Order: sequence, then C-alpha cells, then structure tokens
Amino acid sequence: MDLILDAIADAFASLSDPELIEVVALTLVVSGLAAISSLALGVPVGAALGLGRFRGRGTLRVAVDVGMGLPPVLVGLALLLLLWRSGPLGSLRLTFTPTAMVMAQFLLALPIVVGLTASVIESLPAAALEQLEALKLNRVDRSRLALVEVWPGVVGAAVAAFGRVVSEVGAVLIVGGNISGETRVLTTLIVQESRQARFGPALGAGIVLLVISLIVNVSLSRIRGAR
Amino acid sequence: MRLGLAVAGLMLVAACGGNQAILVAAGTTLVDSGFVEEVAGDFTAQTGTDVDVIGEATAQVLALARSGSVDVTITHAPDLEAEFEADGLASRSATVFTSRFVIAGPPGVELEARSAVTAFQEIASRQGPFVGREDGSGTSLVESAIWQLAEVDAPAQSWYLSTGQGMGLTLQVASERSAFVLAELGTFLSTGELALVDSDVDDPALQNSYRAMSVVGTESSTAADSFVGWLVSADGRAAIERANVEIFDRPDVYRTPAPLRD
Repeated sequence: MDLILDAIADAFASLSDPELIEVVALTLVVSGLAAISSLALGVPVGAALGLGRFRGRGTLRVAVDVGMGLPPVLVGLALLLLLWRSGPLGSLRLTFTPTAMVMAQFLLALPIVVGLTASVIESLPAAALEQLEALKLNRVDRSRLALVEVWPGVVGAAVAAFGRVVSEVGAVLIVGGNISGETRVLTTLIVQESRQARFGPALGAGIVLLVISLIVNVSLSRIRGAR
Repeated sequence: MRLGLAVAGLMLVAACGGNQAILVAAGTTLVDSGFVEEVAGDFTAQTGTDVDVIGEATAQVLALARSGSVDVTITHAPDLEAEFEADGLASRSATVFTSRFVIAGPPGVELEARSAVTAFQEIASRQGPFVGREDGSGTSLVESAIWQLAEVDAPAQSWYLSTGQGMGLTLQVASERSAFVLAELGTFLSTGELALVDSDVDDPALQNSYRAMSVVGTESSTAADSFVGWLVSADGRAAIERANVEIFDRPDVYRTPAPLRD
C-alpha cells in the first residue's frame, strides 16, 4: 500500500516539473494537429460516404470500418518503413520527428472521423434525406446542409478522434522515438518512467493525460449542449 | 470426466516433477538479440529446468531482484552489482562473459581519437549529434562515466538527444539522425538496417563485463544457484560459445573469462 501512496504523493510533486510542461505542450500540439487535419479531410469524405451513391462506396465503407480498429503499432511500423532513410520517403528525413508523429496519429484518426461522420448522416430520418434530394442541390451544398443538421455528431467524431490519438503509445513511440525535448509525449513518457519503476512521475503524467481527456470531452459536450 | 481426470493427472505430474522454473532478468542488450534465451535453452535441455527470460535496464533488473521478483540477474554495472552483493542479496555470483562497447557514428565521419574519453571530447567539439539512453541501463551508466571523465556536461547540450529507451530504439534514432552513439557490441550487431559504423576505438574503458547473480531466498533458489554455477562450467561455456555463432555468426561477441580454478 505504501508503494501506491508514495507513488501518488510523488505524482503530484512531479506536476511542477518544467520538463513535464514541455511534454504536455508537445502532446497537445501533435494530437491537436492530427485531429484537426483528420477532421479537415475526414468530414467531407464522411459526408460523401453517408449521402452518396457512388462506385466503390461499399469498398470504402469496409476500408473505413477496418481502419477504425487499426492497431497503432502497425500504423507506426508501416509509417516507419515508408519514412526510413533508405525507404521510399526517406529523402524527407522525417523519422523520429514530431511531423512523423502527427502523420501516424492522422492516419489513426482519419477512419474514425470518416466513419462516425458517415454514420450520423446515415442516421438522419428518411424524410430529411428526401427533402435534401428534393432541393436538387449540387453534391457539395447537399453535404453542407446535411452536416449542419448533424453537427453535434461531427463534434462527437472530433472528440473520439482526439481521444484515440492522444492516448495511443504504439505508433508515436515507433515513429517518434521518445527523444527528450523533441518527440517525448505523455504516453511515451509514461512507458519510459514505468519501465524504470519511477511510478510517481509515471502516474503524474497519467493524471495530466486524464485531465486533458476530461477537459476536451466536457468542453465539447457543452458545445453540443448549447445548441 | 475423463478429460478432467487427465488434466488433474497432468497437474499432479507437473507439481511433483520437481521441474522448477527459474526467472532470469537480464539487461536489454542481452535479451533484445535473443542471446540469453539461446544460452538458457541449453541449460533447460541438459537439466530439465525451464528458464524464463525478461529484459530490463540494469537498474530495473536489480530493483526487481531486491523485491524478490526474479531468481537470477545478469547485469553489467560493476558498482551496482558490488552494492547488491555487499547487501548480502546474492547467493552465488560470477562474471560469466564480457563484450565491449562500440562508439558508433555515421558512415564517412571518422573519429581521430583512439581512446574513449578523447573520442567523446572530439564528438563534443564537433557538436555531435549524440544519442544517449538515460534509462538506468549498464550502457548509460558507462556513457555518463565517460562524459564525466571527458569533462563534458553532454545531456545539457542541444546536440545531445536522449531517448530514455532501450538500446535497439536508441540505435535506430542515432542511425536515422546521423548521430554518434555508445552501443553494446551484441545489440549493435543484431539491430538491422543501421547506417552506423564502429569507430574501432579500442580502450579498456569500453570493456563490458556481465555478472550473473542468483538471488537469496527466492522459491527457486536451488535451481537459480545451479544455473549460475552452470554458466561458468565447461557445459555453460560451450553453450555461450554456441549461442554466439548461432546468433551473430561469429564466436567472439560475448567471450567467456579464463576458466576458474576451484
């Protein structure tokens, strides 16, 4: 029991560590950029998937469903292979950089945004969809109108995407390398500290991660509630 | 019903068979390459005692041993090992094999220095970059000792990258960042796709010596003692030599010390 109590006490003491603040900042930037870029691409694609009757729609739907459950370590490995200096994108010199981490998390977040956006649009009442059809708008305007209808669901997709990437460790450890001051984020810090049995700082980083998730979830659900 | 009886029978055999399993914790350098498991396989074949192997940084291995969670440790940090033995926690201990540390760097960048300390000073004067582990491993302890002798506060420099992770990942980062790194020879040889070359600095300070200790008072302490004894026996030495060839295709990565006379 002492072990756990000591760890909790140390955890709170570690919260004022300036290095931890740097790690928190990088975590927010990396996962924030990944979530935003996955929204930018994923929401229009998801809307098209939800509304559309186009060739390859079934295949895309299956791909998105598979993608929503992609193992992060596999995404990390695939990206590492692509970015490795002697690999196809090696000339970009992106291995073990924050950019590579954003790319990995973007790939993990994208199928979630696409899939959830498509789902909320598909769940619109049939009457609403018929009305949309009747307006004889072009595809883009139709998607836009549909998205306005379901925007709380899109906010939910954003939360889910951010929540997934901010808490994953497999991909960012493989492509980031946990370099101090450069690619160390909360999850890789927790791995590092727990492997060295420094449970206090590990738990401290865990508390921050939990608080971030809470703040994001609560503020986004308030946006939704304010409608 | 029959199946139940068969299962119960098997459990009885397992319980009475005396096949104690031992848990060995070794530095990640030895485990990442598969070397310790290869050696331990021969012990199991010869004695029937199963050996499970886990890899952790040396400091963590010894912490696990202090808590009684493992039966045998194989580490490479003489000071920490001496402390462990002085505390009366080792039942049997022996230096089982040695290797060396490699100062590796990007191809085409040759170090002029021929000693570890001057090589580190040269790396510092060219502003690295250098990738360190800072994870409580035997390798990172040796690295900090050399930086101290070189009178360079490396971790405070902007050209110093710290991974806080194992040898394999640290080598990858060094390779991809065209950086220097202090690596243990076995892991250096067994990590694939590295664009790094051995600077061939040969210095007694880069000697790396592994000590096996059986931990006092664990459940399998008898088997743990015999494992440590076996490692320095003729059979154990033969197994170590065979594992070298098996894993590294050469006999001399981990060398056994001159035979001990009892």
